[in-house]
Parts: sequence; structure tokens; C-alpha cells
Amino acid sequence: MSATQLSELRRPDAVASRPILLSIDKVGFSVPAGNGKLTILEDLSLEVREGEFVSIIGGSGCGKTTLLRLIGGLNLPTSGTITFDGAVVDRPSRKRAVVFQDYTKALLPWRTVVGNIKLALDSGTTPADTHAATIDRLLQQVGLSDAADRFPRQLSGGMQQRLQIARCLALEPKMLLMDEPFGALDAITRQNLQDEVSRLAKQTGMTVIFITHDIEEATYLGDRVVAMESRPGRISAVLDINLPWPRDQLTTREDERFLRYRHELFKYLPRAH
Amino acid sequence: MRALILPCSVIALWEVVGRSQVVQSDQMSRPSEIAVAGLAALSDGSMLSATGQTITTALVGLLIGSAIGISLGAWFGLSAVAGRLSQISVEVFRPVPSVALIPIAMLAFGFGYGMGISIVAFACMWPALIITQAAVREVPGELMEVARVLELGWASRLFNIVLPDAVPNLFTAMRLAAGISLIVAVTVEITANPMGLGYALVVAQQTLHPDTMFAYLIWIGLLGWLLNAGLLQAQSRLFGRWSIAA
Amino acid sequence: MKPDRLLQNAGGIGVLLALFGLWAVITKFGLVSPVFLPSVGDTFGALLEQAEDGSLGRAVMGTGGRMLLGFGFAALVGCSVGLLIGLSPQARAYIEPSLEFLRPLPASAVIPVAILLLGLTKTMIISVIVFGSLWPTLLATIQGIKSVEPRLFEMARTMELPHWTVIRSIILPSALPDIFAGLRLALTVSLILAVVTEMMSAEAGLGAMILLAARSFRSPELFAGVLTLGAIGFGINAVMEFAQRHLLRWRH
Repeated sequence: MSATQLSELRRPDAVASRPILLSIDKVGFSVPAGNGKLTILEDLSLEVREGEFVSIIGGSGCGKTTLLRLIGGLNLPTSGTITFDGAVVDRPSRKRAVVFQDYTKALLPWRTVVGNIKLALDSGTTPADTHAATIDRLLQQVGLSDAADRFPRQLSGGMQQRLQIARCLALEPKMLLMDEPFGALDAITRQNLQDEVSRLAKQTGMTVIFITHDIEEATYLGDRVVAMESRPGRISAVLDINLPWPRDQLTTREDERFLRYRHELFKYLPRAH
Repeated sequence: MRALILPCSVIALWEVVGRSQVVQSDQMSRPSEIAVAGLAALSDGSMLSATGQTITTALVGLLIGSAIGISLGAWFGLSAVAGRLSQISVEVFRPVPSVALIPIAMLAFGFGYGMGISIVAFACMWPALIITQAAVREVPGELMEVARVLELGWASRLFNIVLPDAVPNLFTAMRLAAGISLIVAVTVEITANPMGLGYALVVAQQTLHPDTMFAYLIWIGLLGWLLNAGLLQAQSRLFGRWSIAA
Repeated sequence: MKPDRLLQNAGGIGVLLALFGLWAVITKFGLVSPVFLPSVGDTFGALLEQAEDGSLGRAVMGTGGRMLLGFGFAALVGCSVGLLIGLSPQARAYIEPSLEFLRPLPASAVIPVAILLLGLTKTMIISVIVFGSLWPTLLATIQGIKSVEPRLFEMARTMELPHWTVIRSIILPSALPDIFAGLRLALTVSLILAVVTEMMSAEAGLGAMILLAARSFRSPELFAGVLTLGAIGFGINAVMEFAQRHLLRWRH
């Protein structure tokens, strides 16, 4: 995307004019259980445009992770179709990079930070002599330049997650799928990473699907928030978030509109009975 | 169950090949002949008495070896100084293959239980020592803190905190040592000691009775498997509530 | 080395020397008959003699050579077959239970079988060593492959990694700790089996040498041989420990 296009993206209403990248059409997912089947997702339809940041929220068990896996191609829907960039999604692809929630398990413990990113580059099509420069750039983008030769075991949780993100970016994907990526981190690290991901996404024009159970995180980061209900998983509401970019941890969260969105979305979360 | 397909087909194939007389009959036996020989050895008491000898050797050696090993291991684990000072000596003596001591035991004890028991004890001592030392050292710091806060004396600390925490690991040490005890006892009997299952195996081979030999081989395998499975069961029954140290 | 560690090692060596000193004292005062326990001096004298007349060298080569040959072959076969079995859940379902049954079997128990089939030959010895070393390697390789973190396979799918890359860059490094543990065990077993088969077949080697010494009541030579075997065991252990620390340094 050009600089002009990028700066246009910062206008809240700019995304509406972008082409549709991902199309989820009446998708359902069920698994065999006991005598019949268990329906995890039912009749889901959603369109995501290029450059959009879509947050998906819902209580546990509502199937949001399953939805992410379907978009990623790790599982196939039992009904309906998912179309990405004009083609039906039937398998995983480097274009749809997945950032897993359990970051420690998704990193190679026997390789250094650089080594982990190299795994993504070596299996790609970029020439080998550009790899070193790419790795340097990515490490700078996620703030891991000083930890280049450390093993994942020697990194904090936040740094490990940043490494995973850097590795996904090395794939040069068109879409980032993030499954509650900051759930296991402390509040301060979470805020820092929220801003980093937000900045990275808007700088590169990356399309992001971001799963979280935290309404405020969803609202803070998203252009749209999709609220899901459980059993079976369905979309109960989609909210356009008209807040200015770049977002700010202090001012955005105090913005009157933010509070209204938060209030609205609160209704869609399950209550403890 | 799929697990049985492989062994059953192997046995069946073996039987068929045996009947076609491809290999000489004084070197190989069919499963049917082996079963017959095995039953014969069981019913005339020879297999059972040999089993008794081997098990006695293994058990006594295990008890002596693990008693020494656990005591030393506990000492080295509890006292950091003792642990550090003993490390090099343990590293030097541990890798000596227990079978290398067979001739020495032969000189010292002659043939019989003494030879077997002493070598089994030597072999069992080391895993008992190492695992106990690690288990005692790894008593979580918080538990030791609790002991300090409650101002427990060292004996009370030993019996109320260290031992109960270390016991599942001790059981694992015993389980491993028990497996070793059987293997070493049989090995000593095969190599030099004229008693027990190992010796019966060698006698069958030397008198060209492959059917009896294979019967004993299978019996030994069964014993080893039963011992291991039994101890694993016991461990999960006793310590199932706690985490099992593999 | 920090002064702390230096002191520790010095203390450890001191304890070891003290034990040797104890040995010397016992034999000096004749507390044990020299038939069973030769003096330190006699033992090292015998060791020196054996080294000089070449018998030590021949014995070490005999035992060590057969041990390494058998182990090497078993390691190769065990790792490759283990890889094939480990990668296929179907193969594992059929084969693993039988392997688990064979695990507690004393490898030495197949020696009489091997003698019956192959006679008291070098082939018999190597076959026994291979047989004994094969199972730990095989089982450990399968175990290592089974315990690869499943999330890594999903990660590989999302990155569209080719099969060969998955094996080389994910499965093998992940399984290496288990495989290495299996190899160490196999090496120990191969040394034991080499010694035992020599004792039973009188092929030239350390096992045969010490048995002969015992039968002829020549305890200095017996102890010299035992010391040598202990040194070999120690050497193997040290090499493997060093290799392990280097290969698996990402764990520490």
C-alpha cells in the first residue's frame, strides 16, 4: 500500500472503501458427539476488508478459537464456505499467518530468536542474502534487537509473543490471525503489545483478525468488533468503532465514544449465574 | 486389539517355518514344542525352583543395594557439603560395569548366592543413590521454609517434610532398581553363577534343548514385564493422588 | 574456574584419594587376603606390565572395537526404524505394545540363544551387542518423536513447511534429548554385553582377561583389568556428558 493509502486508512470511514479480502459465508462447524453431533458454530457470515482490524469477542466456549482455525485453514467447516483473496480456504496458508495463544509451545526452543525467524524465511521465496537484513528489520519492529541470540527460554512471556509475531510477519502474510495473544501476559506488557500490534498493523496496512475475551481490548484495537454468543456459536452483533487513529491508552479509553461502545458490548457477554 | 496382531502373527509364522524344517532341530524350536517344554519344566518344579533362586538373589541384592544407595543419597542430598565432596568419587565408581566385578565376586564368595547378591547390590546402589539425592535436594524451598518457621528439629524435618515429599521419587528409584536387580541377577547366572534361571537357560543351550531354552527365555521376559507392570500399578495406586515421577 | 568450584573439586579429589589411601592401608596391614584384594602397588604394576607387553592394548581394542561396532550399527538401525515407526500412528499402534513387552527383557538372556544359533564366534558377539543396543535406541527414538509438541505441527502447517523441513527442523531436534538418552543407555548395555560375551566365549578382550586372571588367582591382573573397564566406562560417560551439554545447551 502507498503512503497516501496508508494515511487514508487512518480515517475511520476509510476502510469501507477497501476491497473485501475475507468472506465467511453461512459457515457452520460441528463434531460428532455421543449419539449425534455437537454444533460449535452455526450460520456465521462475515466480510472483512483489506486493512481492517476486526476484533472478535465472546465468552469461553463460544467457538471464537474454532472460527479462527477455520479461517486459518487448520480445520474445515462442516457447512458453508470461507473465501480468502478470491479462493476457497481449504488448507493453511502463509498468507494467513496464525499467532497462537500458547506462544511458548509455538516457538522452537532449540533455536535462537534469529533462528526462529529464519525458519519462516528459509521456507519462503525471498533470496537468502536478504534474510539477514529482513531479520534485523523485523527485530527492530517488534523491539527484540537486543535479544537476537537468546533462546526462547531466556525470554519473558511478552518477548516470546513478540517473537512469534515477528516470525509471522516474516511470512509476509496478507492477514494476521491472533488467538487471544495477550491473554497470558501482565497488564502493562499487554498494553505495550496492544499498541505495538496496532501500530504495526496500521503502518503496513495488514488485515488483522484478533480474538479476545476483553471488551476494552477489542474496542481499543478494532475498526469493528464482532460479538459472538455461545452454544452454538453465532454472531450476535457487529459494531463499527469510529474512534480516531492512532489510539492512545489514556485518551482513547476515556473518550466518550469508547465508553459507549463498551457499554453496548457489555450486553453481549455472558453473565455468571 | 491391534497390539496382539504382531506377536500372534510372529508366533504363527514361526510355527509354520518350524514345521517346514528349514533350520536344524537342535538349534531351533517351534512355539508348540516350546510350550510343551515350558509346561514340563513348570510341572516338575525345576522352573519354579530356579525362579525362586533368581528372585531371592535379586531381592536380597536389591534390598542391600538400595538401602546403601538410599542412605548415601539422602546424606548427600541433605548435606550440601557431603554432596559436593562425594561427587567425583561417585562419578568414578558408578560407571564401572557391574559385570566386571563378577570375577572378583567369584574369588571372594565362590559360586552361589554371595556372588549374585553382591553384584546385584552394587548395580542397584547407584540408581538408588542418584535418584534419592536428587529427590531430597529438590524438596521445594517453600516446604523447607515452613519447617523453619515451625522450628522443626532435623529429625522432625526429615520425617515430616523431606521424606513424604521425596517418597514418590524414592518409589521410582526402587522401581528402576528392581528392574535392574532382575536383569543383573540373570546376567550373573548366565555368565558364571551356576544357579537360577540364567543358569537353566545356559544348561538348556549346552545340552542342545532349544525348546526348554526358549521356554526359559520367554519365562524370564514375562517375569520382567510382570515385575515392571506390577510396580507401576502399585505406584499409581499409592501415589496416584500425587504426581508420579517418571 | 571460580575459587568456590576449585575448592569443591579439590575436596572431591581429596575424598577419592582418601579412598585409595584406605585401599592401600587395608592391604598394607593384611586385613584382607591378597588373593582377594591385591595391593595398590601390585595392581598398578600389573597394569603397567600389560600396557608394555601389548596385552592391555589388544584387550581394549577387542572389547572396545566390538562394543562400538555393535552399538554403531544398532544406533543407525534403531534411529532410522524408530523414525519410521514414530511418524506413523498406525505403525505405533501395532508395534509399540510388543516393544514395551521386550523392554524389561535382560539382553544377556539372548546370549545362549545366539550361541546355539551362531556358535562361540565373533558374529555371535556382535549380534548380541546389536540386539541389546537396538531396543533402547528404538524405544527412545519412538518416544522422542511421540512427544513432539503438537502445536509445532500446526505452526508448520500454517507456515506451509515442506515435509522434509518438518522432519529435519522440528521433529529431529525435538526428539534429540530422548534419542540421546536412549543412545547413552544403549552404549552402557553394549559395554556390558561385550564383556559378558567375552567371558563366555574367551574371545580376546578385557572380560576374558579378568575371568582368566580370577581363575588363575592372579588378583593384581584381575584388578588391573577391572580398573581399565572402569576407566572405559568413565570415559564413555564423560564423552556422552560433554556431547549432551553441547547438543542440548538450549535446555539449560
